[in-house]
Amino acid sequence: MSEPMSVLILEDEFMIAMEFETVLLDAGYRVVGPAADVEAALALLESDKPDAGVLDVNLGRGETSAPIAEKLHRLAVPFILCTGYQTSELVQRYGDGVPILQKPVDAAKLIDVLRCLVPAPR
Amino acid sequence: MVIVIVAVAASAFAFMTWRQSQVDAFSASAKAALANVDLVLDRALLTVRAVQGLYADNPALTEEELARFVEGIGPVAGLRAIVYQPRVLSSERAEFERELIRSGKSPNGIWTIQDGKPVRAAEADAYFPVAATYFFAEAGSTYGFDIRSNPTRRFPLDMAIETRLGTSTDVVTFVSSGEDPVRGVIFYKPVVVDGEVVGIVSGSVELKLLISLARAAAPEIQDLSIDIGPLDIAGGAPVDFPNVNDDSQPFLVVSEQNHSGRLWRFRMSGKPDVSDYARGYGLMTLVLLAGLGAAAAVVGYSTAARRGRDLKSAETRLRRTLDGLVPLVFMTDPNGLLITANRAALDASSNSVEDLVGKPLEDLPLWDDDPGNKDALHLAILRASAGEERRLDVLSTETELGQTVYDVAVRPIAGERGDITHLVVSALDVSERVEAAETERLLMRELDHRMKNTLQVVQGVVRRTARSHNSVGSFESALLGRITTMARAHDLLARERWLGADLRTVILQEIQPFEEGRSVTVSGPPIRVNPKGALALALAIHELGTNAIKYGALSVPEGRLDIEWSLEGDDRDRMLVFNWWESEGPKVSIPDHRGFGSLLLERSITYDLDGRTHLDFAPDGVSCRIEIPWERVRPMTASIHFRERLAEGVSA
Repeated sequence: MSEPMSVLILEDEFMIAMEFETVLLDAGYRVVGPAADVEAALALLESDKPDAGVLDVNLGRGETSAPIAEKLHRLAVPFILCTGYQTSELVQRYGDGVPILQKPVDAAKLIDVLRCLVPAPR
Repeated sequence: MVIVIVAVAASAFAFMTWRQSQVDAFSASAKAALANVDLVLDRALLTVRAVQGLYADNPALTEEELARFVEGIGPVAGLRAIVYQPRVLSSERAEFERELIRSGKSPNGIWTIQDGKPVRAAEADAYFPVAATYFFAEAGSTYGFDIRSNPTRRFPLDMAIETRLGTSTDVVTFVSSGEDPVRGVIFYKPVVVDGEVVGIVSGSVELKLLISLARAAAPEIQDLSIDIGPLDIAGGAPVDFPNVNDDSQPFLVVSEQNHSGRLWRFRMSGKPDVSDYARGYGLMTLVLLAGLGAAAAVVGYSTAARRGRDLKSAETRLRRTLDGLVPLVFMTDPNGLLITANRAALDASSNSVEDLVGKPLEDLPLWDDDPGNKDALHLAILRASAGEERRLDVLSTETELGQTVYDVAVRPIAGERGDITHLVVSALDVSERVEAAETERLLMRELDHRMKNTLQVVQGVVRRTARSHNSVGSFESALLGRITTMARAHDLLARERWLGADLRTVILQEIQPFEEGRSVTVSGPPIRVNPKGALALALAIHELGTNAIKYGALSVPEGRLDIEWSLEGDDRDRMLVFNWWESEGPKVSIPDHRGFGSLLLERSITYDLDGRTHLDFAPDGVSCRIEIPWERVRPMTASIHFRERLAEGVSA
């Protein structure tokens, strides 16, 4: 049995972050974070390079997860964007190669999509 | 000649201002109507989702248990019914029908509708017949009706089964409606147990009610229609923002939204009411006359100045004319150095004309210090001295009455040889219009973020609550408690148009169910908090209250609860401090098991708001101190937002 794959969670709403964490742990992933804002996510990335990311596009108070999307993109770490709307700028920029899940994100769907990016060995 | 040009420009400007305010007002009404639709659909879906969670936890739930649960959530405006349809395989049909006939619910067993009449459903590999219903409205019985055999229900039903996601029908006629057909939309949510869809929970929403609720929010809307159909993939993503066609009379707003995989197209048309027209007309006349008068006076003055004659009396005439005007008017030389200003302008600057003469216009104490603000004004003056007419919004300094936004027009006045001799700068207080537009923008931004997150949060609450409770009964009451807390907070915020909520009201409506004759005091200064703060605090108080009534001071008649809040510290270090003290209750022991409730309490404030929660299980009574940076919970106001936009360099 090998090390579990790790996934960074960036989500500003506590209840949603908890939900994603539970779902990922149940599916056999290791969770990095969750981080509530860009600053916290950057701090996590300093010490831990995840195998994938689950990013909420709109982080509240006008902040978006753009800087983290860009950083993961540079590190060649695949990620999923979660958003309420299709029209956000971030979605348009990464839309072609990046899976986008409409909120509310279904747990089964999140895991299905994540498994396509990084398999979770059990 | 110059007078005519200025007058025409002024009337065009007045008409645009007037027209724009009408468009803004109607567009705000349309958005309020859409927000109401969103709220109703979200509340309906929230109920359906909670019932879905309940059935996933216990597929054998009885109809009485369903009724108790739904009644606990309370009626949701627009929601007609909640229905459960279990999956019945062909091998299970006989047994299922025996039960339907035995209980007298459906003498025909599993049935469908053919040519408008109920008939026994044809053989199929699986059925989804109605087994349990809860109607909020008068309705006929639908027990045994197989939704899968109906062509308008089959596609969304199969989609829900295949994708495991929520889906919805187009507009359909409800089977329960009888003689007088009632039309609306049905939302489906699959109940999944061990990876298999074992049933479908549906919720139906009446279209007529939905439309009247939307119109109640916006009396100016005369006509509202909702079309629902497949998402047009080729047409791209749905349009979230209403398009205002401001050339049409009456106004028309079209908005497209994606709800549960279907495209909803809203068309709203109407006219602003007559008093708006009257006010608009009054404003237009005022500005038109002001424009004419100012132009005449300035041209007269500059002619006198050029000829070097009668300068004193020309200046007096000019001052007298300008002083009669409501908008602030300044006259400067071509470089923007002040020559004179009218009474309104001097009053607003709290200075005498002698103190201001010769100063660059953008340095007057009237304007806010923000460099972006001043630079924009300076730039407009440079362009105007090159012959261009400029208009821009400028923010005033803050007084005890708040900040004013001026619609500033900078107009060059040309001499006989075509060179620019003077600039006339007029400033009209448009705070109200800007405030309305900004309020709307804030509302949309908040709704964007909040509404789409709500369902996700409910999903999380259902999952976590289910996990931490062993019996269906305790799961049910814990879930209901949390969902009603969120619903109450949402209601309060919706009433305040999502701009914030009064902290005392948030606290009072949360502790009211616990209070019941016990000694509870609530004290603190009047403070408004933003939606995120209101929701987080409402949930925290709910968890503290639940604990107090189960084990703490509120579990005995003589128990006391004191709640206090205050703002401490200054500026950036300012904190909202909330204290909860229980006393005179049973002796407190530290709990050996920390549930989801205390996790929620201790971590959500830190995660969502950068705050700190200190929960103390002292023997004399539980106490809790919550500290949150004020920056994170203060409500947004239009002038703060305007400042933000200045900082981003996108000044209007």
